[in-house]
Amino acid sequence: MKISTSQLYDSAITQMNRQQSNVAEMQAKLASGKSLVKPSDDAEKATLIQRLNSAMQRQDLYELTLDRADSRLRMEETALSSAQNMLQRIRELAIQGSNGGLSNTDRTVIANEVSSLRDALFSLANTEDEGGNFIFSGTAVGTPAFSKDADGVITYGGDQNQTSVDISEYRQVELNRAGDAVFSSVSRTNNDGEVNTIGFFKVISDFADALESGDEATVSQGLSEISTLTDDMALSLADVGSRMNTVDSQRDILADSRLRYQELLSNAEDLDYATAVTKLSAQMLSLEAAQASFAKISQLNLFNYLR
Amino acid sequence: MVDILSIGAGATQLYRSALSTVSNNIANMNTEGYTRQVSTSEQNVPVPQGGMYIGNGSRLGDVARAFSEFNESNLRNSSSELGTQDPLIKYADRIVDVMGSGTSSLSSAFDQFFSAASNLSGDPASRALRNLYLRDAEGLAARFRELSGQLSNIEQDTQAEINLKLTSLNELGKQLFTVNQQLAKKATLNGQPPNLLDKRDDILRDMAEIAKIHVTHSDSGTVEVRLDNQNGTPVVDSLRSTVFSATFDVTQPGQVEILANVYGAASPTNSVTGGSLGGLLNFRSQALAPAVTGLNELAVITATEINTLQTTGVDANGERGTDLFNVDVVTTGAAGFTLLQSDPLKVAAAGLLKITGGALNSGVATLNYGDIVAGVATPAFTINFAAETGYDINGAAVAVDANGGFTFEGINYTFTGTPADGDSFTVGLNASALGDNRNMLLMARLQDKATYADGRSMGEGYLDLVRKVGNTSALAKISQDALQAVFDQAVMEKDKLSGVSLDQEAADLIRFQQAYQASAQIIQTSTKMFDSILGIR
Repeated sequence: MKISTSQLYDSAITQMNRQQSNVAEMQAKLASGKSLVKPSDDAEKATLIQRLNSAMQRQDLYELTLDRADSRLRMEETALSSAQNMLQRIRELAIQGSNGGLSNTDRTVIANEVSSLRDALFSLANTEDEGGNFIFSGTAVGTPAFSKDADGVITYGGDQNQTSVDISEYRQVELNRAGDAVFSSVSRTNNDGEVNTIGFFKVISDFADALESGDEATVSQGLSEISTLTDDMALSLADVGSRMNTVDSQRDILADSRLRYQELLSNAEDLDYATAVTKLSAQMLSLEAAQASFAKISQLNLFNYLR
Repeated sequence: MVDILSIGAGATQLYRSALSTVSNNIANMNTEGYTRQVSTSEQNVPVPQGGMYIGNGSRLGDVARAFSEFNESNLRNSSSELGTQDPLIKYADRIVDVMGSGTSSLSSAFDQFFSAASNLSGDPASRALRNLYLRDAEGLAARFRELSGQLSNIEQDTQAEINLKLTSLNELGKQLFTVNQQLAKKATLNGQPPNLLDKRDDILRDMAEIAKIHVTHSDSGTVEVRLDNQNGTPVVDSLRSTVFSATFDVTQPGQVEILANVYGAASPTNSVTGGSLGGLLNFRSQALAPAVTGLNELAVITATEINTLQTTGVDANGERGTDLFNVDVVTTGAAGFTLLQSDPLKVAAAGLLKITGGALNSGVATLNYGDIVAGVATPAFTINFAAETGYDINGAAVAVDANGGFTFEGINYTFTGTPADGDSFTVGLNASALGDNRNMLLMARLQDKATYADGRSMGEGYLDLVRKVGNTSALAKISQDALQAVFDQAVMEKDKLSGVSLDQEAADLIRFQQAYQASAQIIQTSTKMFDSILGIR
């Protein structure tokens, strides 16, 4: 078959251009370390990489949420364990106070300590986070959890709502508990047989008053009520602990899934260097062969022999 | 009587012409569109002599182009088909590169926005996080606008290229019409100057690169050209060349009308197929239009979903939220995607309703509300429960549904636990709950919500869009590889006949040079013969 001279040149040029662009493309891949230089090289793969990147980012986000939940719960735990210590002390004082052989002075001293512990608990119940938000106000974080009116009566100002955050696609953890659930109430039956709900701070105040006045029946009622508050506080503390455990266990799960996504992403995105380098040398070889053969073949011409 | 001298003279003339044909071939070796010329010799009429015929030498029969109409039309058609793929790939890849890159894609903007929502849900009272949320909402809006702008740039570029192609087609038509007029001066193909025929074929090849054409040859070598097939719109005939133009609809990039002005009035033609023009039209209808429509659809879905949540939540001022994004996006598409809020306190992170159990409630039940549709008025009512008469709101009995809940003023409520006789629940705006994150949690979860009618999330819908355009380009690349081979084959077939090979010309050169020398020898021989007659004394 006849091959025209210009076609011989044209096709050699086309061939060499093609090889050259293959080499350049492979070189760009090697330089970037990515299997895709630009998304249009493989749109299917590019979208897969984007999806995996989204998933990776989601894992980072859960990590951040876990950190935040952890520090929040730690803050709650610190407040609650101080509160529990104070309640323990009040309980000890209550046991002392219910001992019949105390002098008035002794009882007043005890009552004074109980009152100051109550004030300390009051300020603990109004703990604020780093943003100045009250942590025991439910979701009404702008309002102090407990406030004292002119008569010294302390009432709960927050709401009952709990805030929960997503720590995985399927799992949530509650960040807070309503203040009046932590600083709980007791039910008290009065002389007429009516059941009333008595707030946390009123229980302690009533107890201090009873100590001062020497009303033994009320003092012993106070002891049992304070025991109930202490038990409730222990339960709250246990609840915070279990939520912190949830956070910790989710952290392990997250580390696993993050590793899995990283691997998937690396498979999709990263260049297999061994294969790429081998391919590059094969491409360079064929480019060299094309150049060398063209240089030789283009010499072949009948005119060389016409002299 | 045969005249040896005139045989020799004729032959030298013949071979001189043959040698100049070969030289011309060599000289035009690199001329684009040159068709190799071949000289043929013919025997002269023999001279009868005593019942026999003595040959009377040769003369130049013809210098013809080594040309096959079949090869040529094959080449034209394969170049039309190959040319279709290139603009499709070029522009579709541009879309994929813009929409599919990690930095400029909508995916990363979605990721950022929903991350900000999730972060804010962890600390809804934080002003700093509210600010970040608004910043990333603006980022999302800006990304929609940027992508829309990029697509509209591509729309403009293809529009310009279509106009350019049509201008070239019109120009080529004019040129061909002029060539036709010159060709028409002679009745047969043999009499036509070869360079004019080369010019004609050049024009036809250029036309075929723009659109698929159907060519009819006349005896004199003039041609009639129609688009696509023998029934297509005329491009050039014996009377005129057609002027083509195009009209575009910016909102419908897939709808391009090619107008052909054949008989003095422009009318639409649908016979443009193949070629770079066909490829551009294909790109606009197969890749650009779905991308633009898809992006606009996604913009509407995104704005609607986010606005729905924002307007059914409560902001940091304790007021019901107002739209976060411009709702005009329904009419303007992604280009009009703008953020309406700039005050971080206006971000509605809290749930819409606060439901408080009555102070005297003795049951353990709580009342919860379900999804709230956009536009539902904020309810404010108290529902009471009595063991004997059931539920009532302001004295009007309330029907209990299958789940033990009820629907009131467009919102569904459910109970957890059982209310006791005399319990009541008050429902109203969740006015002072800075720390409430219920709405922001829903916002963060919107990322995975099946927002498309067919169940895809917004992110999935977007990636599908990229994948669809990518598929168009991938298919075109496969076709291009196959069509390139067909085209290369057609070039080779044509070249085999019409191309200049230096080896062949060198051989011809030697052959004709030797023939020329031999013919000159004939003249010398006849001189010697004549001399020997004259030398008789």
